[in-house]
Amino acid sequence: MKKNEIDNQIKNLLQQRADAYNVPEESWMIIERKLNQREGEKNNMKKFSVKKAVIAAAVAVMLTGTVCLAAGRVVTINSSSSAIPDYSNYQDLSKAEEKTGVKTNAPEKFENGYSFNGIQIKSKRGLDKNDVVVDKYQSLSINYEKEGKVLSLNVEPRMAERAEDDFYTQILEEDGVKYYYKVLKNKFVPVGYVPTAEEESQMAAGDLNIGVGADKITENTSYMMSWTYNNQTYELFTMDVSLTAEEMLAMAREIQ
Amino acid sequence: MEEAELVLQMKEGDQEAFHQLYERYKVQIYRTACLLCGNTFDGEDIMQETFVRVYTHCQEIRKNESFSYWLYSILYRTAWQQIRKRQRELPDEEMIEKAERPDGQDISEQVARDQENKKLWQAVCQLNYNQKTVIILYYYEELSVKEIAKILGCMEGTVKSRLYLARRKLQRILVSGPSGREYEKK
Repeated sequence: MKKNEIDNQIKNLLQQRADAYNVPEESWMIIERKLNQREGEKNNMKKFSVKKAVIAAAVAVMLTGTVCLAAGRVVTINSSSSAIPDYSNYQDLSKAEEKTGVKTNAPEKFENGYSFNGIQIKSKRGLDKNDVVVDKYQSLSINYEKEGKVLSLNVEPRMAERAEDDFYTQILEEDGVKYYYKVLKNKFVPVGYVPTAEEESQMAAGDLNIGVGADKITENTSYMMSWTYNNQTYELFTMDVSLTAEEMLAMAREIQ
Repeated sequence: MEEAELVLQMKEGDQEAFHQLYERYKVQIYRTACLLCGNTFDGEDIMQETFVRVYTHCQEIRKNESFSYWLYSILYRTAWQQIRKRQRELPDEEMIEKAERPDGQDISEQVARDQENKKLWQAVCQLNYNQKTVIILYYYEELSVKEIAKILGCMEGTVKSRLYLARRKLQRILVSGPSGREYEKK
């Protein structure tokens, strides 16, 4: 084999492989968190700015709770996925399930009109209190859409260790399964924003999430219902539309 | 804004300057990290820890205009520590499997079409850390021997020697075995 030949082959190979690696969208948030931890920041608000898109993912994780493992308690879950859906056809759901080992029972369409709009495979890492990775797995996020409003069904092959019951807006029980419903206000503010006393108390109560780094102040509300079934954690999540606990429960019934 | 100016501002505690430097380098650093360790999970950790160290140790940058060399030297050391740490942790077969699937896409399936590439990648993975680093910096980052020596903090002759040995090893692996012979016939 000629020197030039192998030179070109190595170069092309490395370029080809590298091109397939996309920077996870949460990376900057994780860097901020690590820096905040190391600087001993204990405030409710982050010192480093956080982008809105990243907050949505973080809010979803916060609402679901942490997972409990034999190896020890996971206190943080990092998630990464491609911004582009891994599968765009409902027929590929079984392929995604086989690939990840996650069984979703996700319908193609919910009775309230939300229709399948893609599947994302998420790579999750559980970190303990010392930031050591103690768990790694893949989960599935099935996206649905109705009149431009987006909703996702996230299924994780892990049991959730939830917050105290009073953290949730409502807890429903049916056939021995508990459904945890939470409504959370989100406020995206510019750097330097000082929360009011009322906001401070809402944050302490877990009713308000403030993300710093937006160009201007915007607010929205996220709605989530989470439950555990067959050793998996299910979660319906939306930031786009108001859904009551009963409406989300009706959707949950269609999943099992 | 000039990079040296951003570095100066970061050293003065400007987080926005740090963020801009992150944006400039995140893709290259992440991809190089993934190539060095062979999987995206560790690649993420390495990239994040590299940038955390950049911010927390930025006062140690002596020449602001040489930031990129300093950044890559941090990456080189961080990746080495992560790889060693990983070797001490529980065996992780899932991660090895995941190494072939960045961002959920099954890269191995894509690459499988090209058996030569597959074999070459396996050969790159079998190189020792120093040789692999030199190969990646030389062929992927397209850095000169002089620049690589600056990053690794070694003599140019050492880089040349590692490059020569790594290339020879890759060539030997490629031409040995059944598919290697097939390659030679072409």
